[in-house]
Amino acid sequence: MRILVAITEVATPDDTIEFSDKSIIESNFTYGLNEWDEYAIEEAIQISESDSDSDSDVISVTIAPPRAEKTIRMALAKGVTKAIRVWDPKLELLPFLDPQLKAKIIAKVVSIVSPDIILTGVQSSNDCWGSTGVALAAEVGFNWATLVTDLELSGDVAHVRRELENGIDELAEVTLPAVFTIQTGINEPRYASLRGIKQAQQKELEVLSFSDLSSDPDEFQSKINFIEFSLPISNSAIQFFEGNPNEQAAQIATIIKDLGFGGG
Amino acid sequence: MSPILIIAEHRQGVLNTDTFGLLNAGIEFAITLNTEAHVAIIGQNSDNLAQDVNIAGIHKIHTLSTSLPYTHNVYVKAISFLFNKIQPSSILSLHTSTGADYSPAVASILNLPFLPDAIAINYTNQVEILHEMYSSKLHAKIASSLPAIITIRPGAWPNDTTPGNAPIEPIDLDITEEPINFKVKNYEETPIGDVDISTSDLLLSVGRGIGEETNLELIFSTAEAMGATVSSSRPIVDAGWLPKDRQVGQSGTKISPTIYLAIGISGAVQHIAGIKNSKVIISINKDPKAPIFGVSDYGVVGDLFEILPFLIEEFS
Ligand SMILES: Cc1cc2nc3c(=O)[nH]c(=O)nc-3n(C[C@H](O)[C@H](O)[C@H](O)COP(=O)(O)OP(=O)(O)OC[C@H]3O[C@@H](n4cnc5c(N)ncnc54)[C@H](O)[C@@H]3O)c2cc1C
Ligand SMILES: Nc1ncnc2c1ncn2[C@@H]1O[C@H](COP(=O)(O)O)[C@@H](O)[C@H]1O
Repeated sequence: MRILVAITEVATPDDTIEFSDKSIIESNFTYGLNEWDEYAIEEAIQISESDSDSDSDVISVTIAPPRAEKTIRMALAKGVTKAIRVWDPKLELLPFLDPQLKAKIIAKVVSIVSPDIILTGVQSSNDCWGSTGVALAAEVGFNWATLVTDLELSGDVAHVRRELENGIDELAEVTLPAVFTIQTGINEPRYASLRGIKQAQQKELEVLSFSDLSSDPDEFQSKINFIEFSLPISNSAIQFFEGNPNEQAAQIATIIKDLGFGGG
Repeated sequence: MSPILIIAEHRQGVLNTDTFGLLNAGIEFAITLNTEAHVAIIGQNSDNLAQDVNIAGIHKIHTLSTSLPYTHNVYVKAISFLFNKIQPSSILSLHTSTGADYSPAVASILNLPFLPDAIAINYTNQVEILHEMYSSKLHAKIASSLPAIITIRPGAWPNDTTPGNAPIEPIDLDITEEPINFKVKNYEETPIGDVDISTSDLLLSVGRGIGEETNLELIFSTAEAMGATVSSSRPIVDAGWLPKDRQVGQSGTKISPTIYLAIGISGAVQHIAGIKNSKVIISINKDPKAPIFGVSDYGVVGDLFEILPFLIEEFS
């Protein structure tokens, strides 16, 4: 069994996000693996570990500049067999990648890797499209199941639990090959062992550009035009309690007691 | 210009009430474009649900009835068919577990631009949407040519409506074939355990800011002192620290207490989706830019570990 897992590096802003006309200023960012992709990687590794086929492997794909290699190595340290990173100078000009463009690029990697199943996260915490997995499935003609919180394979069928709204789960069967978008909580992501971290340095991290993926690099065009970034309008109705922690606690308690709780 | 096509959302015979916000978004957009707003209801029970979406501002309702339950395959087929039939200016769906399950595929298959999770829609010489990024800390205005496939944030448009009298046009569509590649077996509801957070009037809700499982002691002590029920954000449940029935939010429980006290919760959209009906929201967070403050009535910017001990004292 060959599993492709799409993983992305995300930036967590410390506080306020700064941006210019065309890009986000990333100086005060800390980078890491997208939370949902932690779970997708763990699921991929668990599937490959329980696969009786000893050739079973997990390949990761990431569209990102060289900066992301540290994050990708963490995935390799956890047990991903081989990593692919796609980048192209053309992408430097974009403020972000839209889900259709991501899907188009990853689809090319799918045709090289020929996976049986593809895992993605439900969403990226930076772009928040929540859409790349389904766009990818449609692009490569695979079946798909979103919001997966349990995944069992038997032969060419996957039994999935999908988490819908309001505490309702859907149980469904999907025929492989398929894309699964993995929801948090599906498993307990492992930490990389020291041995894993050492081994990761030796593992292959292949770098591909648009010309490696297509004879027509112009096909990687976005249909989306970026206009501008802005900051959310702040809530003028909120009252902040000032003072030291003791005074702040007293003000909270007053509100709670005034509304008839806490024996006030 | 050709009409705006709105895809109503329903499952197991029940209309998702956020559909009304979606209808309002579609009507508003149609007015901007000086065109009509049409609704499509696809799948089981669509004939029964047609009157529910018959609100003022809607010009036509297309029902595409099938005996098949919702699957994305059924929707992709039905929407592609309807697209070719009425050539709409854009297609609008909710950005939910349903809408986000088929819309990206519809866009790919029809080779149209896809604009996900809009909190505002505008039209100049192209369609523009506002999309939240970086956990709601940044807004991006993005645009595309028409027609576009757009999903909208549930709750971002008002739900109020007045009855209308749009004609209902059944469309005979042959999608009766068994969807062999995706079969729904069953639905299951999270069982309610020892507490039902949806009926509690005072909720003390804990998020990832608590850091470690052992620190939950502090939360339970505080809750006990003030007589509150403990609930949480999703990561606390994902980590197995609290059972699923304590999770507040889109995929957890929607709550409507008198007081919702959010401790170390950032206020992700999926969390906020569950707390909007709270009367008073009080938040403690060390990040002054945390989106939870955007929906709170009272806020404390500070460290929960410094504040909660004093709060316990206040009630002792
Ligand atoms: C389809 C889908 C459905 C989802 N459904 C839900 C749902 O139902 N419910 C839900 O909650 N989430 C849901 N999520 C997840 C959601 O996107 C967020 O990941 C989650 O809500 C974040 O939880 P949090 O606020 O506890 O954690 P974080 O976002 O990590 O926030 C932690 C906060 O704690 C603050 N903090 C840290 N230390 C301290 C301290 N010492 N004192 C004070 N503050 C501190 C930080 O400033 C930060 O704001 C869903 C996501 C998806 C994609
Ligand atoms: N730049 C990227 N490279 C590889 N995979 C990605 C990238 N961006 C998103 N993904 C995958 O798509 C999922 C959903 O992301 P999004 O649609 O951007 O919210 C993520 O959890 C990843 O699995």
